Amino acid sequence: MMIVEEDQVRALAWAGWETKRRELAARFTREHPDLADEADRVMRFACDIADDIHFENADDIYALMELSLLPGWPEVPGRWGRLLPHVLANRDATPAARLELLRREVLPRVHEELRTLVSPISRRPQG
Amino acid sequence: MRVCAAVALVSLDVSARFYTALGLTDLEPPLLQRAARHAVSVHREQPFERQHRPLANMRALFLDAVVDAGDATAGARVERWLDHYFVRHLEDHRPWHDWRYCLRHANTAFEELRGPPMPIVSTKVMTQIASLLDTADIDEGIESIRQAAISDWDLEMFIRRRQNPFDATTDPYFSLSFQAECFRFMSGLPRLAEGWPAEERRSVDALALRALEHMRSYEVPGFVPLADLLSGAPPS
Repeated sequence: MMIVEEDQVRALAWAGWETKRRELAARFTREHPDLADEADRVMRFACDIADDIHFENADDIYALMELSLLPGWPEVPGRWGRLLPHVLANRDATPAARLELLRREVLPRVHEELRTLVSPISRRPQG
Repeated sequence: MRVCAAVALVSLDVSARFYTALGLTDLEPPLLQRAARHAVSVHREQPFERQHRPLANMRALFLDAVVDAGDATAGARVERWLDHYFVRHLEDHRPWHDWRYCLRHANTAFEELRGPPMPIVSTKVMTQIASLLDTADIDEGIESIRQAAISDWDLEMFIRRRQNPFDATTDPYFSLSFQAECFRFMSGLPRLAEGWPAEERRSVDALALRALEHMRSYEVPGFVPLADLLSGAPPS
């Protein structure tokens, strides 16, 4: 019978976690090649948040990484932008339900709001 | 917290469609909703140092707004709803929930409860009880609002109150249907029982106790007889 010591179990878990983190960064680089330089930083920040809000699933953590594409993240401006962290931090709800509420209801409103917040500036005459 | 939850519920667009089922018929729906939203907005915007007594503040804000929108009678009736009918969880008006569960069990597991000595409750009374407990129309109404778009006000309230319509344990529509079911039972049982002869009431008591014994997992520390329950019924 093979005996696995406690520190070996911890090392295995750490190696697994590191692999998961590397895969997340690689996926971000693949899907957003223009932000490849940022992938590691975005991944680390998302993992820190994931720890706080009890997200463990890789896809859920990746969804957090994608939120970093929002201007100002994690302090996104506007009525709905300010409510984003409230949805994520509601640990009474499952991670899947929190992300579903974000995707279906909150993010469309955030994007709409950002368009109205940003458009007057982008429409400003140049020169 | 209880009053905050009640006013938040009243303020929702989805609730406005259910005011009658929730027991809120004392003011025109738009006026009642506006009063609740006014209370929520003022309460949210008040300085932090004034929020040491949020329950008293919210209650006064809401009831004052109801009186302003209607009159003192409307204020008194909405206050009665807050105190006697609003149910945040099972511990609010507990004896009514115990009775609701017992009668529901007696209704659905009637055949299993048979055996000597079976309390004899007339078919007419059992039909009345079954009708009182039938919430298919409420379930249908809730299902239809689930399919509808969520208004901005409702979404913000859900988020601020840590509710999530895609989550089983924090589902805001569950609170809505729970409130409607409780109101129907708490207002309907006294009306039905008025028409029951004393002997029939004793049989219903015995039936509820039999159901309670049958539901061994449902803990009821102080189950009250029907007469005591009805004597504590909210004023109609």
